[in-house]
Amino acid sequence: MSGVLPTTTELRLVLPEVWLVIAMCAVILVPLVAPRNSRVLALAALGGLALAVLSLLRTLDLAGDYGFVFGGSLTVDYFSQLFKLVLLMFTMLVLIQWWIVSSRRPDPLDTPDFLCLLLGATLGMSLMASASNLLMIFIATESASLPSFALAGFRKRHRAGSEAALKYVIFGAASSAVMLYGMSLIYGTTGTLELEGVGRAAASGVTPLLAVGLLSMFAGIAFKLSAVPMHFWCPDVFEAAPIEVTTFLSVASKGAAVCLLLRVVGSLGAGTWPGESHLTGLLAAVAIMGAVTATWGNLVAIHQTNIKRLLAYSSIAHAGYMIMAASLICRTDGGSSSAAVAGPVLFYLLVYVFMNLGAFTAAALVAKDVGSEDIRDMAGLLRRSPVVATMLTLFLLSLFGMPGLGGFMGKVYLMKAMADAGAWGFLLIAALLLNTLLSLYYYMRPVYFMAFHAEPPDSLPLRPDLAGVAILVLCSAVLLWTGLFPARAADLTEDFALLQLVHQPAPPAPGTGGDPRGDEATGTASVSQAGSPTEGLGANFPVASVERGDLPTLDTAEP
Amino acid sequence: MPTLSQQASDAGLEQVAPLLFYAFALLTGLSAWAVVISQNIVRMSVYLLMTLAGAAGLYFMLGAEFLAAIQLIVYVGGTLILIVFGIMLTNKSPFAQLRTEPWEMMLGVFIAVVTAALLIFALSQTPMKAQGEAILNSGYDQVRAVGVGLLTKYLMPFEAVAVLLLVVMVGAAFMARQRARK
Repeated sequence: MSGVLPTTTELRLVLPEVWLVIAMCAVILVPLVAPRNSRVLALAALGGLALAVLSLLRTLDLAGDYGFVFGGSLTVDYFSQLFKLVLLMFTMLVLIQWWIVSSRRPDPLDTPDFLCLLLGATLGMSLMASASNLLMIFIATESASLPSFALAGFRKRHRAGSEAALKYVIFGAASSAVMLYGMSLIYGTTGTLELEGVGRAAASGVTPLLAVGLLSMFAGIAFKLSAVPMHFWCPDVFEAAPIEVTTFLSVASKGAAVCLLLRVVGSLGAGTWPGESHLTGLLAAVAIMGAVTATWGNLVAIHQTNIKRLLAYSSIAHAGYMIMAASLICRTDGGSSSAAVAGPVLFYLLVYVFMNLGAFTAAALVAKDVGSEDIRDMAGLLRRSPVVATMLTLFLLSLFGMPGLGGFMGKVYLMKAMADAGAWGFLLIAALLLNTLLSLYYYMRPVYFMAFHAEPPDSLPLRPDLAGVAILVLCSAVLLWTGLFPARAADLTEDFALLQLVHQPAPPAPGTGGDPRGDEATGTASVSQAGSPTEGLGANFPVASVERGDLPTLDTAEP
Repeated sequence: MPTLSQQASDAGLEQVAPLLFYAFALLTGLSAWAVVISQNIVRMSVYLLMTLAGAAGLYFMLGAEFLAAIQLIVYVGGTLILIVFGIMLTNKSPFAQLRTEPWEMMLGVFIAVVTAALLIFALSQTPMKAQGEAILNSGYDQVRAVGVGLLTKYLMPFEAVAVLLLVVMVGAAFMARQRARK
């Protein structure tokens, strides 16, 4: 009856998460014994994150042991590790941004709380990227959401902030309830909590009850993605929250939700797109949700005058682009596999991290100086601070998708993945292109005010913080690098886009090739494609697994 | 130890089990309804208590004694007390009336009817069969199975929940302090 106790290897695979927990405890406990000092605590949090990054890089040595860990609760694979790496480094940058941008030095009484909540949310998001059973998905989503609620209302005596946080809590609680209800229906109809098992059960026929359960679960994920129609919280929260929280939520929370979506959709319907599919309806619903989300975000963004609100709608639109692509993860025609979709999405996510971080940091530097987040108050910024204005323009252009910048290449790769999916993919490409055109207008409005409006007569040159400019330079360097020399980053994301979706790698079908070639030095691994769909259940799952040695699979069925 | 329904049949009282089921189901359903209809927040919490207790009864009927006991201890015993405390500490008057506008009511009824229709349709179209293996029948073994599961197969969710509770506590403490200082 007893299950499996975690092995040392498993513990090493989750060491990054363990470091996060240790850092969380440290930032709460240290103020009890030492004098309150925000700087020390911020450094402790940064140190914890740095240790997490280091231990994460060390897990790459254990790539042969990637797979399902902790009784199938988590999946550690290349995909999750790359996302976690990006997430951790992004959180470090957000911490630095928080230090620079907070208008006055952070209140020493609040610093431990802020850091603990931020690290807790990061932990939840990194679990989201790995979660592979329903229970873990729910807990991870909650671990990401609950700290975010408190973070959103972090500004004291800020009426709009409290209101937005309350809205966020109520909306989040309702969607969690819906998600949990859906999961209970899924468990009731399939008798398993494992995503893999749910996928198997779905392959043998989606009953109406299972469909309702899946839809409800997707509603919960859609809330985290702020996908239409679950997006109402997003603009209010983003506008009212402190800007570092907005930066964090706009990237980390959505990125983790995209990863979760990829894993869930991939596990559920692996190998069934689009022919004779039991999930066509569901996947089409996801794709349509993505297209509607992108369009809605872009249309509403046009009227916005608050830069944070504008970027909030822009982030809704970008989430829409990624959802559109993620809906294609199960397709098999065109000889592609989950990596062909997960790779571009990861690339997009990587670029998106830096675009949004840069845009929000630039906006924060301006807002700190001007004292307003209205884009009309950015008038004449180009003359007041050429550096910040140029950088902000660069980030906005990248968000739009200007050739030569990372955002453009991200969209190109997404479109490439869509083009492989046949007629349906071309519809998605059309939606993406149309939306890109739409978005040009509102991305250029701040630029218009910055460049062509005269500054107020009594304005002084803006003196941005050096560390703030350093973040901007870093972000724009990454955008230029990914835009001008995308091959390297694209290879990297392609190599890492290996989602482990099933316990046992399906043996390559005899005669169909699929010879596994594992390249250990660069961490590439072959993707064995499922054979003909008539070869039983196992063949319905294209396995994107690491073909290096034996995968230690936890056989949870046996005593 | 056989489940309650088995015990009932052993005693030759097969008729009692369905009666009990309908009693618990009615209690759960009607008091859930009353939570929604009622306008007084204290009454709502009392009806919620009945809903939760009714659900616990259903769990007993299903042979999930451990779950039922937890439901009684945590929800009926703990959470509800917290709700009442929350009402007492936050509200100016514990008899505050919550009114809903007619259009809100209509929207709610519409959504409820659509959801119910969808669920009933889905239920009626889905062949029901027992899924998975039934966890052990005997009460003691159930606790044992849950305990072993939490420390082996479900260790990770268990730990994650522990960390989650810590974070939530920090967040709640922050919120409470914020209010106190205003």
